[in-house]
Amino acid sequence: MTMDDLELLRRFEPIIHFTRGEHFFPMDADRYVGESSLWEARPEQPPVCLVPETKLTLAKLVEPRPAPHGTVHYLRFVESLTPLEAARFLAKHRRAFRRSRGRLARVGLASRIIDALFSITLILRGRVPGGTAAAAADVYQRLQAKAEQYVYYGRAVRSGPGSFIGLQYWFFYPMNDWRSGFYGVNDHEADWEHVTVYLAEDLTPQWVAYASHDFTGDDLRRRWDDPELQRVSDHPIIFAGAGSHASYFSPGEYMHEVALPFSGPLTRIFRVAEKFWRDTLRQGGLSNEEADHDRSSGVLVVPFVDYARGDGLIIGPGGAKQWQPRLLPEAHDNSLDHPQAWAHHYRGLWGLYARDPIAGENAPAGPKYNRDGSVRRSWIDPLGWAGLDKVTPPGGVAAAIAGGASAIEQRLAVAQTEIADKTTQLRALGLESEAMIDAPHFKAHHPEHLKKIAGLSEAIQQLHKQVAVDHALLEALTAYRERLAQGERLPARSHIKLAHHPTTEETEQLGRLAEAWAALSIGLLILGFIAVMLIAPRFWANGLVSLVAAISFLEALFRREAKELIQRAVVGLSLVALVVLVYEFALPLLVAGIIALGVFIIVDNLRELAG
Amino acid sequence: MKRHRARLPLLLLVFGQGAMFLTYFALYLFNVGMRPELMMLDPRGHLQAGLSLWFFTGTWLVLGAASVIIGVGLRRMRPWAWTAALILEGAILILALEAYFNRHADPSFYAAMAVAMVIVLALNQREVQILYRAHYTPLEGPFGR
Repeated sequence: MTMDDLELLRRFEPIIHFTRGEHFFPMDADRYVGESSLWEARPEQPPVCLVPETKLTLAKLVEPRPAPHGTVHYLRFVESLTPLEAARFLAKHRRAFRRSRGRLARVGLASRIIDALFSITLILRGRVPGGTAAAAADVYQRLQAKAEQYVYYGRAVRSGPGSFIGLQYWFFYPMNDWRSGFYGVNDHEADWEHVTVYLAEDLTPQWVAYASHDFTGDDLRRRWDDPELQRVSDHPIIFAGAGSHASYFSPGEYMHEVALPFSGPLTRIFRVAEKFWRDTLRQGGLSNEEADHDRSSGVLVVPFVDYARGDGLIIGPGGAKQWQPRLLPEAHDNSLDHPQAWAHHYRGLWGLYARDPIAGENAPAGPKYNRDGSVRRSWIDPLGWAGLDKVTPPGGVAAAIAGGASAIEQRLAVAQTEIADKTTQLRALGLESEAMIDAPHFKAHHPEHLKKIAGLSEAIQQLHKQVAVDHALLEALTAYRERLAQGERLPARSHIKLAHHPTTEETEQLGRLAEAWAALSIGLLILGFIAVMLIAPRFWANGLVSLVAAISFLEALFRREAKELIQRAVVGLSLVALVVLVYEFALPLLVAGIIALGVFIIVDNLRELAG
Repeated sequence: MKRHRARLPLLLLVFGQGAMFLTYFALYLFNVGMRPELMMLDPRGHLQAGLSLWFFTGTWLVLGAASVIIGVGLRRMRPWAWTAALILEGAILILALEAYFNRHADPSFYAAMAVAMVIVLALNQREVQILYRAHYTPLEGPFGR
């Protein structure tokens, strides 16, 4: 690592806009570790404290600790406060956070039922105890009061000559309190987030990618000239999610959908049925592309809002607080003397291991590692992580096009020669076949010969197809080279398939009545169903259908979606009718189908005769 | 906009449905004509049968007339006709399914159910919705969808 890297990192260091009410900001790992204890959880055994708090240092953290497979090493930053202590702390440090219209008011009845199920899974799964976030905030505020610091850990990743240089900025937060503080998905001690700025060889910024939850690929990155990317000079602006610390390009409130655990198979079946319904039967109101954009991540999904308003503290150039950068070791620098040697040598979790089987409440591992100890893709392959591995840096485009065109020309020449050779062989085989026709003693050999002819003919056909494609590709490359030479560029957002946008103002301004209804409706549904079961248990099915229909209709009125609800309900009724008709008239329908097929064949043949 | 090929079958189905219900109405009326005592709502034994006949006769007439009116609206490409057709078919399906699940469906109900089902699936076709301007307007974000 050289000073050049530090200068580069400082030149492009980001500015983070937080949401008002945020308790935790990027800090240094050494002070966090100084407050933590180190634990070891072996399979089927209670966890054991290896190093108690105040005794742990970064040097001790990286000591080798052999253990059997399945063992988890983890830190414990704080002991959770009792409910009374937590309430006292929160009363003393009241959040300035303003909650907007509830997430439940923004989604439908089905999602709210699933939300209730998700809350039940939280009881069954391991979770961070209540009062942990308050305790963490208490300790963090004490540390900041002693010495206020806002730290990022940076590294410059050079993937070789002619490639992008990736400037990675890692931010360490002592706690993710998204669930307990901001009605989000999860809480966990410790949180590692990162963004990467990609430079060309001449050190001009080209792209930037923000980590957002567990997403990867093209949608994470924006081109430097994309209007969505906000910058102050060469410093990109990040809008951090409240509590979650996920990074966004624009301020706003983002809806997230979290699939219920083990809902994958159901989602896959639903996708197949949906595709058949939409594409084959052409049913529904949206075009394919629009539907793909609107497609949620699963069937059993729970909606959550990530508040990234950017109306709170600003850290970075021009902001209220300034960064203190720390350099991470290079990819192959395994020296234990490096101040940040823990990045390579500590594979454990950076906070409480809550034994959550789906990991949402377990603390993350460090910048280099996943929770299971494997190396993160964003660390080992920052280009591939943001889908940039297939993108040629601007300085090398002309040479790459020339190289690509030359390779295609060579491939074409080879293919043409091969076509000529195979054609000669095919003609020879054709002649031999003609000669065999009137010779009875070739009866056994002739079919084999015909097979060879068919195989060779197929191979020549494939070569012709390849030549046609290569010719078209060559033309396209030449045209693209000319467009680039004239200064044209692809649109800045052409690589984005599904951009994550904040919710619209219209959605955020749902009425108070809709919000209250959203909060009450599931409870009312359950109470109403219990009442039906007590009063008229024989009619439980009718009662349930009526209750759901009444609540859905009221809901649709609140949302001014009565027409859409009627459409969905009537289509549902027609599908029930279809099932009834098939059930009642299976045999006549089969006979009618066969008769129709017979009539079709007769008509078709008669038409051919007449024609 | 070019008219979708499903429009003509849709119109035929809606008018055909109207004709079917009006025929049912005529048949019920004929039935009543054969047994005029049913029209009297005689409390001495025929009250229930009489009421049922009045209800069905009236229902067939209303459904038949509504089908014809909606068919005219659909033919004139009126957006309201698409919504009205959907509501009408919903009502027919509710009546038919209620009869089926309460075990008093006869062949006329199955025929009504089948026709209504086909009409709903035709109305729900994406192109038909666009034709009658019944499709949803996608929301635009600041940077497009």
